[in-house]
Amino acid sequence: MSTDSRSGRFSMDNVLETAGTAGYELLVYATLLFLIAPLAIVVLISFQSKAYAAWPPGDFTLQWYTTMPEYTAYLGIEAALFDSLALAIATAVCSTIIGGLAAFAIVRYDFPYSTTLETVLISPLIYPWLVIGLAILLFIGELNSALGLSVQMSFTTVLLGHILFTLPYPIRTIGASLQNFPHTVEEASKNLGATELDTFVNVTLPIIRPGIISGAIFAFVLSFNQYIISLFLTGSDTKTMPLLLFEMFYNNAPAKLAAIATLLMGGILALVMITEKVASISEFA
Amino acid sequence: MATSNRALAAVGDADESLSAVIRQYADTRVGMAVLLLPALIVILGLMVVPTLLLLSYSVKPFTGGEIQAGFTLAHYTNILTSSLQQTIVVRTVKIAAIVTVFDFALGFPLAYAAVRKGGLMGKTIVIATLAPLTIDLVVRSFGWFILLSGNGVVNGVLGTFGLINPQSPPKLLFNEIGIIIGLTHVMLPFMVFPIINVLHTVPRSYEEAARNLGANRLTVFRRVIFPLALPGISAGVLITFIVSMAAYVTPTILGGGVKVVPVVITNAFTSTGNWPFASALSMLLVALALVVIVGYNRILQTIDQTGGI
Repeated sequence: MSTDSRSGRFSMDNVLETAGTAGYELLVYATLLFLIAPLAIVVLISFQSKAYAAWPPGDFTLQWYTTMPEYTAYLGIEAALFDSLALAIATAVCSTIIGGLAAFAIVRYDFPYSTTLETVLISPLIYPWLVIGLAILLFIGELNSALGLSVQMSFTTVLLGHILFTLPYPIRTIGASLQNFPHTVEEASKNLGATELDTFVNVTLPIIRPGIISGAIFAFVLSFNQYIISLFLTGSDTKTMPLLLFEMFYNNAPAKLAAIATLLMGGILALVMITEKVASISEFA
Repeated sequence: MATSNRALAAVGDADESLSAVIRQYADTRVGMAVLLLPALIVILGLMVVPTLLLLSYSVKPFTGGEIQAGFTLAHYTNILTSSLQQTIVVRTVKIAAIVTVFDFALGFPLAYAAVRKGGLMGKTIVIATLAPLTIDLVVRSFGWFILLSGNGVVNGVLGTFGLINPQSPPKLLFNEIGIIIGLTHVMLPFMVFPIINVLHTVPRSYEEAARNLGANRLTVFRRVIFPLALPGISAGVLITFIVSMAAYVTPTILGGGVKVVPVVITNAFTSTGNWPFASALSMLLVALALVVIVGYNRILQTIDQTGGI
């Protein structure tokens, strides 16, 4: 009798379990759709004939791509792309070197408050970007009036802001690579007669290469996409791609913006996929 | 021949002298200071000192469209007492809280699936979560703008299934709903990755043991997985909340006239020139970040001990 009622409850549990599992699977797939939908719609809109977004989409066309040379010229897209690439490369190089050195200190040295120091160094990760832009802008103004300088907003000032907000990423990725490799390999290299420099270049660097590449690519991508810090810190000599895209959103046909955005997305995603192949960037996320 | 030998010798000399320097300082405090100095200069010179300056601006009087010398707490009292500013602050906190709840509800199952399913599915989830993170915020918000507009895809699909009245579709754009949907999308990866990292450290055998002892899935989640995953969950929750509070691009594009704190700060700074008020409002975001940085410190230590990150 008691066995019966228990087995009855078990089968009820089974039904609930099956329903629960199905619901769970559905939620996972729906979330994946949610993640991809806004990117996919931009690609879709760029291949349809209506200049303005509507549902259902219009006929298939390549006109927003074939006519691109006409509107990229007057919108200044080439110049913005060049500025953004230059800024993102400079940011990635500076941030990776500065962050890499710090990662060495954090992982290789034992010192009091090392966790506190690490937290301080990765704090830009959650420091409001808006405040970074605003505070550096005020700071440069204050330096100008206090020291009688006339530093203008320029490529250099925006680069400073970008180095600050991307710094945590190489610290984290290079730090993780350093933590995961046996210290003894370096000892072995030195015992076999290699100099310190030899050991660093031929043993240490190759082992932490995935961390270096992943950190640099994170810094590059984040800098390339940064809007608000650039808004405050660029001068008349630089206009980055996100600033231009933001203007385009308000002033141009959605289909044109969609076509340019699709090409940019293709470029960035290709870069991330290549990095995934050579450096498993997703393991550092 | 002779020149190349000399060149080789020069390289060898440089190698030897550099190596000697490394040898001399490698395990000393000087070596450590040299490694840390550039990063500390960046943090101090570009974050700490400028923020202190921002703080000093927040107590300067602003009258007749000019910043005055002196000291006042008027901007802070304005933020705390004016109903206009209160509405904006409350709205910003509310949106950030709702986004955090949604992201946990969507992010935890996704992270769990990525870890437990593994293989191709796990890889797909990780890539699909990482991909939006690498795309320009303007582009992502633009995508949602198209999806959510009055005659957009979401209302179109809902109308096809008869779930809404196509004659008067619900307004999903230029209001809080639009901001919440857009930010939930932007912040989801920040919730998923810390949870993935911590779930990797929870052995599957723990769950199987609990199941074998008669616990159902909900109990396993509540009593086994959730407590063990707590460090990753707290990290995800804190990051999601704080970054949502400070978001500018997504609320601007999807919120229309519905403003949040970062939008008000930027407007005060760029159009009215009321830097002191903008600075005071910024200190709200700074204070929140500081609380989380202190909290994150503890969470970081916990994760360090469990070997998560």
